[in-house]
Amino acid sequence: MTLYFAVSAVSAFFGAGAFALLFHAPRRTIVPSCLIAALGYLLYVVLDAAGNGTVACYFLGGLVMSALCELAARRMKTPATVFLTSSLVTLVPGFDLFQIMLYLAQGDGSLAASHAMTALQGVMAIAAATAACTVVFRAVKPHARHTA
Amino acid sequence: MSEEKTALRALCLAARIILENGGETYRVEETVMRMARGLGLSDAGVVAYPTSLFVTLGTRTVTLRVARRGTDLTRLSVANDISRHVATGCMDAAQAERALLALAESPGPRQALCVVAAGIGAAMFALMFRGGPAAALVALLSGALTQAAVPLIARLEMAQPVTNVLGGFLTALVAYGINFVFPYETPSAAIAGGIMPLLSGLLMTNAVRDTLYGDLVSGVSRAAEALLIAATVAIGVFAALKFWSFFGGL
Repeated sequence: MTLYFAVSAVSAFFGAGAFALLFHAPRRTIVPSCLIAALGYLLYVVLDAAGNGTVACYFLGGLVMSALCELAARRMKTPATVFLTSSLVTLVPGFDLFQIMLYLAQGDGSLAASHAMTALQGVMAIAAATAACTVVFRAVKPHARHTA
Repeated sequence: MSEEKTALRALCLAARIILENGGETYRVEETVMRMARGLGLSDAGVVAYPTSLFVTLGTRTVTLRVARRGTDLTRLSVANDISRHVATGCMDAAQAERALLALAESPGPRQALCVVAAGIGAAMFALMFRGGPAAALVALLSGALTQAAVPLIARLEMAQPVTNVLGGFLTALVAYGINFVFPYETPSAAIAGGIMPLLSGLLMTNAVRDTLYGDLVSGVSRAAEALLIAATVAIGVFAALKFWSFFGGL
């Protein structure tokens, strides 16, 4: 299990880095984005392995990543989107999208619908986490919306 | 009058660059208003949607259609810096316009780098989806292949959906094709990892976020775009899965 956690964190680190290059992120933001992705994704897999529900795992993973992205944005005077785009992508439920297609191809509509619901829950939880984080950060520093 | 025209051009250019390169609609509106305040223009107004822009200054209104949408975080970040310089009075409208024109003309990431990045990104996602080293290698190959094909497909009409369908098809075809010849564990992880560079990251998340903020038009149109992307990738994957199930390889 420890090896799985380590592989997940390292993969998230380099996965986020690859996406940062693909999205042409400023060089100075790439390493912080990778670290944020690795930490947030590690939290997600640990919570998942501990048997927490889908929504809780996505929400808490997304919340930690969003908070770290907001902090990095303020420190580096860069829009938070730059960090969020590269790091939060590691939580996108792409595997569920594939599972939907696989079960549809095999003619199992109920399993496909189940994975569709899981993917939707994941996306909604990540969105709620980023929105909640932004609201809190702006409440703490009302004029911060310019960098958020 | 000439200064007002220059200011309006600078505001429109900043708005267009941010919207074309992955910025949220609220960011476009805030950037324009911040620049206008910095330039001492009290009668400016802006409304931004994911596909169009309306910028008003006094009695003049400019309407822009935004047809190209992608993600270039460097352009987004530099446009934000320029707007801050204007807001703090370090740059006037003419200087901002020149800087923004140069930014709009600046080259994006090199295609070779994108091919390598897409391959590595796909491989890393295959590992995150509990795939083994073989699945990661296959995802690397399919992710890089799809990204290499993008410039060829970009010349076609409806390039984005065609890229997604072909990318999804190619990814699943390669993953199960290799599995057909050299069986390996978890081809599903290879496919799921391979399609990640096609899924445009956070579109759906941003759509929900826009909606929560009350930007309903933006939220709904981004959600439609995200669903279209997911559906077109899925069609490609589905076609390849059907192809291999026909040959008994699924």
